[in-house]
Amino acid sequence: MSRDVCTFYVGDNNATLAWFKVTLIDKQGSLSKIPVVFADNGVNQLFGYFGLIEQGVKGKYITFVEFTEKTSVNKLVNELKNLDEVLDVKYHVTKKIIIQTAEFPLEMFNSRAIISRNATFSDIIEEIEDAAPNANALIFQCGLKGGMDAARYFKEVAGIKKRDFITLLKGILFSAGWGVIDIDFNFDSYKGTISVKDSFLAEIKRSTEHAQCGYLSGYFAGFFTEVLDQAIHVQETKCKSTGAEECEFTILPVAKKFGTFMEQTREDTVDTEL
Amino acid sequence: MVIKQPNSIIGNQQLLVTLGMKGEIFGMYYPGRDYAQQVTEALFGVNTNGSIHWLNSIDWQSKQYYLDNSGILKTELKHSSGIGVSITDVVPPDYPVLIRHLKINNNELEGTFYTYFDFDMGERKEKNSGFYDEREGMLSQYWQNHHVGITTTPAFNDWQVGKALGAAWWTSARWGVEHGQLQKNKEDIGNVNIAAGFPLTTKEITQYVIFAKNREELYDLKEQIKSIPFASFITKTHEEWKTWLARGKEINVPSRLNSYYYRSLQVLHLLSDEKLGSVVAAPEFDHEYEECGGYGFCWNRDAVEVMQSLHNAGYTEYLPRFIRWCKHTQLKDGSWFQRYWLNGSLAPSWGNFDYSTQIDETASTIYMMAKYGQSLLEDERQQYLDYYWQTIDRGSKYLMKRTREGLHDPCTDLWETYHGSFTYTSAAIYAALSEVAKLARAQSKSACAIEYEARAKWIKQKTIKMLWMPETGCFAKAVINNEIYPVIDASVIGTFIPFNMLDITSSDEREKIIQMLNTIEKRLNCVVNGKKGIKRYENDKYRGGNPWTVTTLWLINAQLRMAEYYLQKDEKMGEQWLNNTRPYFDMVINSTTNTKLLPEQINKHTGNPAWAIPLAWSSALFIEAVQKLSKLQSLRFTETITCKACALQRQ
Repeated sequence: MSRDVCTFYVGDNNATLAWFKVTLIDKQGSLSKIPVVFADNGVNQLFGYFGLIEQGVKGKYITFVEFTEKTSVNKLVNELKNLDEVLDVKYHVTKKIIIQTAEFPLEMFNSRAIISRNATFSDIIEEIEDAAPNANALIFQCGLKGGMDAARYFKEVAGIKKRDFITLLKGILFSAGWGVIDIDFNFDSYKGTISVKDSFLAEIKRSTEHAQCGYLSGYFAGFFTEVLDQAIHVQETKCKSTGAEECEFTILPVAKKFGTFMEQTREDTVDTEL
Repeated sequence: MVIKQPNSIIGNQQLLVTLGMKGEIFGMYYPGRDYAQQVTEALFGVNTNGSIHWLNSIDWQSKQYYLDNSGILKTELKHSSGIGVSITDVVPPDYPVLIRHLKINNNELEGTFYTYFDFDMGERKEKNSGFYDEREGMLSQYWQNHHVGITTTPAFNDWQVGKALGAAWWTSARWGVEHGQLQKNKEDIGNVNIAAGFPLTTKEITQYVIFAKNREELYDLKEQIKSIPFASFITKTHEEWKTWLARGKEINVPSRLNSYYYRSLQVLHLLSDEKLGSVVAAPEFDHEYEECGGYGFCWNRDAVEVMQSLHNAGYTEYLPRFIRWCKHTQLKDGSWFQRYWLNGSLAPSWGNFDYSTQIDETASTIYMMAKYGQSLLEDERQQYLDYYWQTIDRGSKYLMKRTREGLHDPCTDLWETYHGSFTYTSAAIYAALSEVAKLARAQSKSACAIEYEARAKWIKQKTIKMLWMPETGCFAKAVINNEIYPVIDASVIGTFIPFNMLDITSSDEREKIIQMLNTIEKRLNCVVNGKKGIKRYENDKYRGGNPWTVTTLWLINAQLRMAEYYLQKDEKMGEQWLNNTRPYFDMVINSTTNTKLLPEQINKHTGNPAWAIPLAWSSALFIEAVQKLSKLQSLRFTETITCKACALQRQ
C-alpha cells in the first residue's frame, strides 16, 4: 500500500479550503479536543498530523480542511484559541485548490529537503544513462557521496554509535520511502548482504535490462564506508527490475592494501567459495 | 561539463595552458591550439588532520600575476591555517612542457602535499591508459599519439594510477588524495586519473608536465628537460618574450594602457598557430557547446582583425602566413566557411548553406588580401598577384554573385543570430570590392576594376537609401523579409571603421557618421561602476545582454578616427573626440582579468570579465585602438612643437 503525501488538493468549483497550524501544549489528551472543534463547526478534515516541537512543552497539529459557506472561520479560530491546551492558531483560507505551505521549507538531516515524485528521480537517472559517459559509475558515485554525507551527519552530529547504525539506516530509508530494508552484516569480517523490498529505483521500468539500483549500491557503500572508516564495496546481485522478488546487495570489504579491481575480485571469489 | 573561464594563459607554439586564479589548470592544448584539450582537472591539494584542502577551494586567498611581460605566471596562495604555497608556472620556448615550481611555506602542519590530474588524452575519457614507471620516476598517460608524463624534483614518494569513475571507486586517485592514502597502483586503463604525494615538510617541488607524440619522444624529452636547471628555463623564457615584444613598434600612450597593450600582443601570439597561419577566437571553454557554439576555432572575420593588428604593431610575418592559409581554405565557389579547425578543415558549423553562410567573412578576407597587395612594392606585388590573384578574383566574383540586387542576398549576420541583408555585411562587401578594384587598376586589369568599383558604389548607394534612418540618425541593422529592421546595432559602425563606406572627408557623410556614433552611444550605452560600455544591439539576449569589449572598442576606434580628422582642422573639436574615448577605455581596461586578459563581454552588473577569455578579437581591437591613440599623441606633440616654432618665428 502506498501513502499519499498531501501536497495539494483540488475540490469542486465552490469548495472553500484551508490549512490550520495549531500550536498546543504537549500533554496527554490535548490533541483529542481539536478535531471535536472542527467537527462541531461543520468542517471536513481532509488530512492532519501532529509533530513535536519540544517534548513535554509544545507541539503542532497541522490539518487541511474543506468547509461550506455557512462555516464562520473567525468563530472556529476563536473556539480553538479558547481551548486551554492551545497556544496559537495560524491558518490560510483559499478557494478550490489548496497546496501544502504550512511546513516550508522541509528539512532532513540538517539539510533542506524536498519531496519529489519517484518518476522524476527515475527520469533524471534515465537521462544520465542516456547521455553521460561512464553513466553507471557516475550514478554510483552520486549515491556514494549521498551515503557518506548522511552517515557523517549521524556520526558527527547525532552521535550514533557504529553498531546502532544498521537499525538507523533501515529506519530512515523506510521512512523516506526508498524501500523496506533488511541488513545482515558481520562486524568482524565486514561482509554481509542487504535486501530491499520495493526499491524505489527498481519500481519504474526503464529501458535497461540491467540491475537498476546503482544509486542505492553507491549509497550503501558510502554509508558503510563512512561509518566503519573502511572502504566498503557494495554490488547489486539481484534486482526486482530484472525479475527477482526483491533486490539484493552484497557487501564486501576492500582490502587495507588496496589492489586493482581484478585483484579484489579474485580474492573475494576465492574467499566466497571457501 | 562545468564551464570555466580562465584567469590567465601561458604557452609556446607547441603547448597552450589556461589557468584559474588559484593556479588550477583549466585546459592544456597540445599539439594544436584547438586540439586536443588534454585535461579535465589538474589540482594541488593539502591533506592534513584527515581533511583535504584543495588549493582551488574558497579557503585559500590567492594573488595571480605575470612577472613583468615575461609570460611567466606567478600564483600566491595562503590558507587560514597559515600554510602558504607559491607557484611559478612557465612553458619554456621549444619544449611542450609546463614546468610548475612550488614553494611551500609550512611551519607546523603534518600531512601530505598532493598533485592530482584527470587527463583525457586525445579529448577522450575512455580507452586511456596510465602507468607509473618507478625506475624513471614518471607517471604517464596516453591514448594513441597523445602522451603525457609527470615527473618531479624531488621525486614523489607516493602515487596512484586509478580510475576517475568506475565500479572499483576506491581506486580513484582523487579519493586517495581526499583520504590521505594513495594506493601505489602502477597501471590502469579506461577513464584514468593519477596523483602523487610529498610529505608536507617538503619546501620546494618542481613539477614537469611533458607532452609528446609517442613514448620514445616522451622519455627523450624527459631526459633533456630534467638536465636543464629550472632557473635556465626562467631566464630563457624571459628573454624570449622580451625579444619578441621588442620587435614591435614603439607606442606613446598613457602608461595605464601600456601593460594591457603588451598583454594583448602576447595573447595574439599565443592563440596563433605560427606554422599553419591561423588563430583561434579564444581557447575553447565550452567543449560540449552547452551554453554557446564554442570558440576554439578560426573565424576569418576575427582572424583578419588579429592579423592586421599584429601587422600594424610591427609583427609582419603573421599576415602573409594567414593569407596563405586563406588561399588553401577557400571554398570552390570563392567563399569562406563560417569557421575552421586551425589546419583548415571545416569546423562544426551552423552555416552550411548559402542562406546561412556569413558573407561578411568572405568580404573581410578579400578586403584584407587586396589591402595587403596594395601595400607591397611593385615587384613584390607582382609576385603576390601571380600567386593570389585567382583567390582574390574568385572571392570577388562570389561577392558579385551574392549582390545582384545591390544589397546582398539574405545570409547570417556577424553575430550568428539573424538572417537577412545587413548594413555591416554590405559595408564589408563594399570595402572588399573597392579595394580589389584599386588593386586591379594598379595591375592594369581595368575591366575588372571598373566592374568591381561600379558594384561597390551601387552597394553603397543602396545601403544608404534602404538602411539609413534619417529620423533616428543611424543605419538600421538589416532588411529582413523585405522589411527594414530598425534595431540599433553597434556593428553599423563598420560602415565607417574599418570599412570606410562612409567617407569622413565628405561633409554629408561625415554628418551621418557623427549622428550614427551619437545614436549608438545613446541607445546602446551601458554604464557600470561609472564606466561606459557598448552593447551589441538593442534587446540582445545572449548571456543576458552584456556590453561587449569588441563593440566598446569599435566606438573607441571610430572616435579616435574622428579625433585624428579634427585635430588637423579644429583642435578643440579633435580634443573633444579624444576625451570622449576616456570612459570607454576605462571600461575596457577595468573589465579584464586581474592578469589583464580581455574578454568578449563585460558583466553588466559587476563590470567583471564575463565570457570567452581571452578573446583574440577584443585583443586585436585594443591593439588597434592603442596604436591609433599613439599616432594621435605623436600628432598632437608634433603640432605643439610646430605651433611653438611658429610662435618663436613670429617673435
